[in-house]
Amino acid sequence: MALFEGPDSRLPSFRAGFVVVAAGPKGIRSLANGARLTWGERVFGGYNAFYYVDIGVNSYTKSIKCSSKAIGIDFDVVVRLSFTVEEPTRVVQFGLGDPEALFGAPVHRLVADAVSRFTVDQSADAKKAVDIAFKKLAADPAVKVLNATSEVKADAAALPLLRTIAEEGISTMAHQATARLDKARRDEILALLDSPNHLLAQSMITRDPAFREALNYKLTELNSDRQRQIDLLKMLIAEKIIEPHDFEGRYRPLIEAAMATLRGPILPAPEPPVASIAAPPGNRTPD
Amino acid sequence: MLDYIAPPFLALSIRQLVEAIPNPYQAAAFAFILSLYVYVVVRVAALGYCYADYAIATWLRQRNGRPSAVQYWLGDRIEVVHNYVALAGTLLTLAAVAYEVVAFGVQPREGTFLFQFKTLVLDFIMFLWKA
Repeated sequence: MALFEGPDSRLPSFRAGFVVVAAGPKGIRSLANGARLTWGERVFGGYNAFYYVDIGVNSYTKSIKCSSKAIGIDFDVVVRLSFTVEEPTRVVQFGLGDPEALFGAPVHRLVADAVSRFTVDQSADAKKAVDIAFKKLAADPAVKVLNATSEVKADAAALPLLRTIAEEGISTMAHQATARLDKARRDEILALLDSPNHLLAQSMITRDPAFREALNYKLTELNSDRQRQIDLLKMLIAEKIIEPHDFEGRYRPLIEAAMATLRGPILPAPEPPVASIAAPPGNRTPD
Repeated sequence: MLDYIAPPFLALSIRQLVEAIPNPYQAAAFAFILSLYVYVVVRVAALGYCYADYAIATWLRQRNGRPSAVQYWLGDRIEVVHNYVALAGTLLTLAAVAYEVVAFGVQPREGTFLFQFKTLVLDFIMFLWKA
C-alpha cells in the first residue's frame, strides 16, 4: 500500500490511482478528484506534510508456516489479499502505509487458529476453514479487503517424515498379516488332522511332501483302528454276544465309523519334469 | 505619483529623507526607497488577501463545499505579484544609478543618446517625485 510523502504544497492536482492528503497541526484533509488547496490554505492552513495515498487495488501475499494437529508436521499456507483504501486521511493519520504491519499479525493468527484443527491429509478442509476465517479478518476501517485466497499444503519437510511413518505402518501391517496367516494355517492343519474326511480330501490335492508324510501316518493309524474294530466285531459275533441283525439297529455308528476309514494309503506326488526347470540357453554357464 | 501611492505624512517623510542626501545620490536613493515602499505595500496587501482567501476557503469546506475556480485563479495570480514589483523596483534603481553616472560623471553633450537617456530617466523620476 503506497503512502508517498509529497515534496511541497504545490502538488500535482491529480495522479491516477492516488489521492493527495494534506496534513498539519490543524487537521488532515483529503483532496480527491483533482482537488487542491487554495493559496490561502497553503499559507495559513498549517499543512506541512503532503502525501499521495494509493487508492487502487493493492495485493498482499504472505507465506505462513503453522503447525497442524499432528505435532511436528506443519502446514505451508500462502495467503493472498487484495484490498483498497477507503479512508485516505485515516491511512495518513495512523501511518498505515505498510501492509505487513497492518495485515501480518491478524492474518497469521487467523490462519494458525484455523489450520491447527486439521492434519496434513485434511488440507482441503483446512483451506476451507481458512477461507471462512478470512470473513472475520478485521484489520482497520481505513482499508477494505476485497478478496482473500489461500493455498494450504503440507510442509515440504514433513513429506519425508510422513512417508517414513507410512512405510513403518505398512511394514507392521504386513507382519501382522503374516502372523495371522501362519496362525490360520496352523489351525487348519490341526483341524485337518482331527477330521479324517477332510484329511483325505486335502491329501488328494496337496503336494507338500512333509504334509503328505503326516497324512499317511495318520491314515495308517486309522487303518489299524479299523482292523481292531473289525476283529472286535468278529469276536463279538463268534461269541454270540451280538447277533448280525443287531448291527443295523444298535451298532450303526460303529459300522459307519469303520466304513469311513476304508481308504487306502496316499501315494507320494510325482516329481516335476526336469525340462521345465532347466535354465534358459542364454544364462547357461560354460562347463 | 508619490502623493497617490503614499499617504501625505509618508510622502513628506520620503521627500525630506531624500533631500537630506547629497545630490549625486538623490535619484538612486529615491528610486530604492520608493521601490522598497511599493514592495512592502504590495506584500502586505497580498498577505491580507491571502488570509481572506484562507478564511473563505475554510468556510466553504466546513459547509462541504469547495472554493470556486475564480478564487483559485486569483490566488495563483496574486501569489506572484510581489516578484514583478521587486523586479520593477530593481530596474528603477539601476536606471537611477545609470542616470547619476551619466549626468554627473560622463556629462554628455546635448543631442547625444546619453543626453536623451539622462533626460528621459530624470523626467520619469521627477514624475514619480512630484506628480
